[in-house]
Amino acid sequence: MVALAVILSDLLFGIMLGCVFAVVAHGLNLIWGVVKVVNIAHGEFIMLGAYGAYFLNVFGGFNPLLSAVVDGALGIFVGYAFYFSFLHRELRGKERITLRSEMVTLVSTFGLSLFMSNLAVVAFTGDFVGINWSPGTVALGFLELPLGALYVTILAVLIISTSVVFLDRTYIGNAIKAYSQDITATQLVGANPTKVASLATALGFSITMAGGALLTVWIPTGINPYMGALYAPISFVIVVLGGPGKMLGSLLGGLTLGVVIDVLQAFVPVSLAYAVAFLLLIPVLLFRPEGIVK
Amino acid sequence: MPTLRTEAVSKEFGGVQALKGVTISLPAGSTLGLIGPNGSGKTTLLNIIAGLEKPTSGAVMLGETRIDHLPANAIVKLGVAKTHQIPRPFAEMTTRENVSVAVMYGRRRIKDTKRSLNEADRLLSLLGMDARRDLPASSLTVQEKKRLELARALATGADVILLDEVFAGLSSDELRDSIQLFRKIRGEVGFSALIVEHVMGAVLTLAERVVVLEEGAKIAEGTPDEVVHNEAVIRAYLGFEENDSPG
Repeated sequence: MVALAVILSDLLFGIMLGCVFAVVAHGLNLIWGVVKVVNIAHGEFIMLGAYGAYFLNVFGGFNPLLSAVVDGALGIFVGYAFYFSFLHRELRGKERITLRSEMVTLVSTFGLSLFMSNLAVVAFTGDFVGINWSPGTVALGFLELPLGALYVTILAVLIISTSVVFLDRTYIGNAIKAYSQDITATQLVGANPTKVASLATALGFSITMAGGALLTVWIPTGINPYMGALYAPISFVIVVLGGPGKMLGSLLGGLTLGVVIDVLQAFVPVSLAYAVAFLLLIPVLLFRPEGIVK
Repeated sequence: MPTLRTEAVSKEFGGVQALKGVTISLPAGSTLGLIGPNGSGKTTLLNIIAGLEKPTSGAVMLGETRIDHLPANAIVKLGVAKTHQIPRPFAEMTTRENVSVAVMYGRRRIKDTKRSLNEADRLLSLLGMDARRDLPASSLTVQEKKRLELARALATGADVILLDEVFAGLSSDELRDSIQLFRKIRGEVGFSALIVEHVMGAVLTLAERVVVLEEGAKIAEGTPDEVVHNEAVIRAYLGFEENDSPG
């Protein structure tokens, strides 16, 4: 009975953690799936979102949910700046991204990643910090669920489902979907490819940074300049699990990874749980490179 | 509805002259055929008009507006739309979604998704594709995909439509249906058409005038009847040299 309770609670925590992971990965997925660029500095923008939430809390008393909204708005500007400084030159006038551009963006965003994490050490110091926010718990049978994590889960699902509906049902979303499938054909129905690609990138960053803010609830003392080095690989694994460009794939991949990590933690040390979770990547890439769902 | 003209358009690709000073004119509401053997520069000319390529020299005029420096999406907004030689549907969208994107972003800018889907349905039924509208575009047959290309071009609200081999690769029955359908659509939606083909049949039936390209240069222009009896055209198509003509 006790063992069952432990497994159940791990499962539930895994699902909640997975939802947060999913948001963080969703930003990467959007950019990867639409613009076909893999942003190696993805983790550093999660870190930026987390520090955003931290400073908003310290100086403005914001809780992480509110900060996620502010971060999301800031992310739009950051995303546009990223697009026009790192991607525009490579994508402008192209029918599809070339191998050369893929290499250029991989290397340049890798450089950006190093630059940002080191700049963060200078700006924020290397100290681990965290946000003290505990809105209490709610009893669910024999389980005590922290309300903070529960709110974060709800907001996470809301962010992902809103973005899916946005892509399916709106004027701008339709162009983004079209662009992800055929750039020239999108241009030939009258949409400006630069506008579409930059907007998709901005949305991706908005979601990534909002995700960084939500993540702070799960790492009460874990905000640090190098946190990107953990959360970027997690995002990559999730996107590969769910299938790049499949928007609900982020949620599926996130839940898979969250549950795997949390349930494994019941049996093995935490670091080993992460190692095993990352190991998932290899069989998926080998046997289902398009993601676990068709 | 303005006249579309190319004025002495030339295009060079790394030392190769793909087009050599080609001048054509497509008056409002007319149908112009553009034919020529493979590699004669037809698709290049179409791409230049659509804004996908820039001419090395010369100009493309839409009425009094010079359009050859504009990006393709801006040219669509002025009312010039092109279909692809090899259909390029948005494969993961349904047929009606494919068309509705063109309604939304084309010249008419109907941004409301519901209204644009309704307009897409209207066009698909005009093209006899009602039954296909909720299928993913990837599941359509080649002929249906070509119709979808035409539906998307119409959906942009264009009054000049550039058709790149929409009649190629069809069986003779399909070709007859397609020609009939084209005439019907022409009756309901007014537009000028530039029809590019390397097989002559459909062009000679539909076009009022025909331009013939060979190795990037215009070698003949006239009514279909004049063109098929033109010696230069016969030579270009049959590949006879001056000195080995029969007899």
